[in-house]
Parts: sequence; C-alpha cells; structure tokens
Amino acid sequence: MPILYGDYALSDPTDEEKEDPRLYEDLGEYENVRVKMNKLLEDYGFENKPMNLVLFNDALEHLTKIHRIIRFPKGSGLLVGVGGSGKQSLTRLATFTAGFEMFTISLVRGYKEDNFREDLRELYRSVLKKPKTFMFTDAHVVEEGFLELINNILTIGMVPALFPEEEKDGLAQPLEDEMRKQGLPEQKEFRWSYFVTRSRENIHIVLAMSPAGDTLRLRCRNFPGLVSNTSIDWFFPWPEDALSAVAENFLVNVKLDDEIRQPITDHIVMIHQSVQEYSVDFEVIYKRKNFSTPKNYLDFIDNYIKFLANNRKFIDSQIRRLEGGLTTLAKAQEDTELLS
Amino acid sequence: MTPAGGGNNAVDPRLMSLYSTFNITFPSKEAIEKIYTSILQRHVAEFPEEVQTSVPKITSATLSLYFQICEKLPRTPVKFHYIFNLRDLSRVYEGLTLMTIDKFSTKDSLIRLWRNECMRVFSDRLVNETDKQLVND
Repeated sequence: MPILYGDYALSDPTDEEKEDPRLYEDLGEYENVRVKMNKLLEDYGFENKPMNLVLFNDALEHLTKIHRIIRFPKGSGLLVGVGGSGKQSLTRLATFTAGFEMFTISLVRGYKEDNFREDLRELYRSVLKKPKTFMFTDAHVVEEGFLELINNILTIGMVPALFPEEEKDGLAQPLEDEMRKQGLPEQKEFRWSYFVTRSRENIHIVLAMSPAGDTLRLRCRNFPGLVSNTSIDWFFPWPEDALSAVAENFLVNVKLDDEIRQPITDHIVMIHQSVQEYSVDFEVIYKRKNFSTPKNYLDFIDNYIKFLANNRKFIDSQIRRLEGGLTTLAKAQEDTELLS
Repeated sequence: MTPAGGGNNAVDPRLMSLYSTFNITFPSKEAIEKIYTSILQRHVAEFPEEVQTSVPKITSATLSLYFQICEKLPRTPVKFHYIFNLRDLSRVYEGLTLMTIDKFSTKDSLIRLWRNECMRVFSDRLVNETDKQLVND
C-alpha cells in the first residue's frame, strides 16, 4: 500500500463558503487519490487554463508531497527535476487543492531587479488576505541577484528595505486589532515585525529548478537558505508505468487496431528508455551529457501522431489515385472489347 | 555563521580577531530528545494511552534515524544538498502534530504517519535508489 498522507480528501476549493474539514489522514490507495485529483483537475480547468495532465502514480505522490509542503505555515519547497517532469503543473494543481493562490512573476523585456522588487512588494501587499504559492523557476532567474532576495524571504521572511518607512505603517494597520487581542506591544517596530511574521506564514515559495549542469550546485552554495529552509523533493525520471500511461493517454484519440495498440505503446516506451541507456555511453565517449527529458518524450509522441496522420493521408490519396487509374483502365478494356 | 568546511569558507583570522567569538555547540542528544518528546506529548495528551506511551519511542527512533543519516549520507559535490539539521527534525514533528484524534487513534496509525513524515523529510531529497534504500532500512 502506498504511503500518501494529506488533508484534501474532503476539501472542495471551488466552494469558498462551505466549511472545509481539513483533516490530515492516510489517503489509502492510489485509485482513491486519482479519482479525487482528476475531479480537482477538471475543476481547475473551469477557472483557469485547462491542463492536460496524466496523473500516474508517481505524479500523485509528488502532488501529495508538494501539497503537504505548502500546507505548513511558512512551508517552502525546492523541486529539482529535468524540464517537463511536471514540477510546475503539479505545483499549480497542489496550490489549487490547498485553496491558495498562485503568484509568479511575468518576465518582460528589460526585467530588472527593480521590477522584481516591485512584484515582491505586490506580493506582500496582498498575501495577508489569502496564502499564496510563489512559484519561481530557473527561467525567472534573470540576474543571480534575484536569488539573494528569494534567499532573504526564505531565511528572515522579508527583503530588507523593500518598503519605504511610510508604507510600513499602512501595511501593518489591518493587524492592529489582532495584536491588541493578543496583548502585544503596539510600538511601530513591533507592529512591523508582527506583519512580517504573519505574511511569512502565508508565503509559500516553491522553487522549480533543473539539476543539469553546475548551476544549481553553485546557487545552493551561494544561497544556503535555498536548501536549509525548504523541503526538497527530487524528481526522478518517469518510471515505466508513467511512460506507458502517458503514451496511452495521448494515443486514445488516434485510430489504431486494438491488437497493435499495446505493442505500439510498449515500443514508444522502449525507445525512450533505450535513449536513456545510451546517453550513459554517449557521455563516456563524447564527454557530453545528453538529457532525455519528459518534454522530449511528449514531443516524440506528438511527432509520431503527426507522422502517422500525414502518412495515412498520403497513402489514402495514393490508393485513391491508383484505384481511379485502375477503373479507367478497366473501362478502357471494356470499351475496346465493344469496339473490336 | 556555520563552521568552515563543506562549502563554507573559513573567515580570515585577522577579521575574527576583531570580534568576540561564541561557539554554540550542537545540543546534546538528551536535550533534543526532551524538546521533541515534549512537543509531541503535549499534542497527544487527549489521545488513547497506547498512542501516548509510544511517543518516547518515536522520538528516539527519529533521532537514531537522523544521526545515522548524517553519518552515512555526507555532503559531496554531486549531492550538494545533503544537509540535514534540526530544521528537518522540526519538520518531521510539524507533520506529526497534524494528526487528529479522529483519524489517528491507534499505535499503528501513528507509526505509519511517522514513517510518512520521515520519508517526506529525509528520503524525498535523495538522488538515487541506493540512498533511498538506506533510509528505508
């Protein structure tokens, strides 16, 4: 029996009014979780851009892990895996399941540290109302300096000198009643540090990074907070059952004879796995690393479907041409027989 | 500051000489045990007795697991993120304190939950099956 623990079994993020009994519990078999998650995925599709995800067992595990991480106050995660392994999509779904909001930065031309700081200010202004998952990926690291700010948020909960003094008062204002109730001192500095503590609980940074090359290693060395203040989840290459589940899912709409459907899926899986095996040899001989990522795999299936459709069209038209030619020939023969 | 070694650079002695230095040693095993047992004990005060009595065992199991991991899975250039500290122990306990009386009323369920928390905190970051196996054992 798989070990899956989470508090989302009864929750329904689409209905905000409903009471949400979040009880941490043993979720049981994969099947139960898959049913629940497929429903949530569908719900997610109504409110956001739909995601085409295949929830195989491995994905369910990662999903539950991410969800567990962000449900903790101050919980932040570092997801490490090659491109396309589903880090971002699963984070989105986990965020939705947890009933949080997503926060990402959108890169525009000339995006600099100033823009990043402005985005972070925006995050702090709105985070008290609803917890947010701040997803930060490799692509978002325009300057290494960005990570310094991320590191700050992870270790001390705030970026020094992010807000001017005038604004700090306004931000902490809504918390005044709460502080009075708890009998906390009301000086300015205390108010601000209380604001930081509260915001920090609601900010869940999820870093999605690729292990390729030395970049990640250097980053973790330069910014130790990335490792020590996060729960780390290392994504492995997709297991065989995941590969075939995905292939099957994508081939569902392709017309294939039933007897060859299974062999074709197996073959696709076999090819992808053989690339992984030979990549090891490749590295030994040419001293270069070759990565066969899940993204490659999806492209591979996509290409197969396209080729299949194209070739079928081509062969069909050939058949029609030949048939046309044959009928004309046959007709000519009949005609000549009549004439002679 | 963390002590030098394993990616942390030593600080120049000339700079150090300008400061008074305090060395904070790692808390003793007994101290850690006390801290975490009390956290959990307080949480399970209302739980059935079999759960309550297993709390000290859970703590000593967590600690022995933690010390074994620290010893057997050292940080290397490839496994640069194999850093385990008290925060990880706290994460295990943060998870354990999520349990509610409705869902976890037996000793077995507590142990299964404990296994889950330890896997999440320690195993998920490991980069290959051999290391994972080590934690499982």
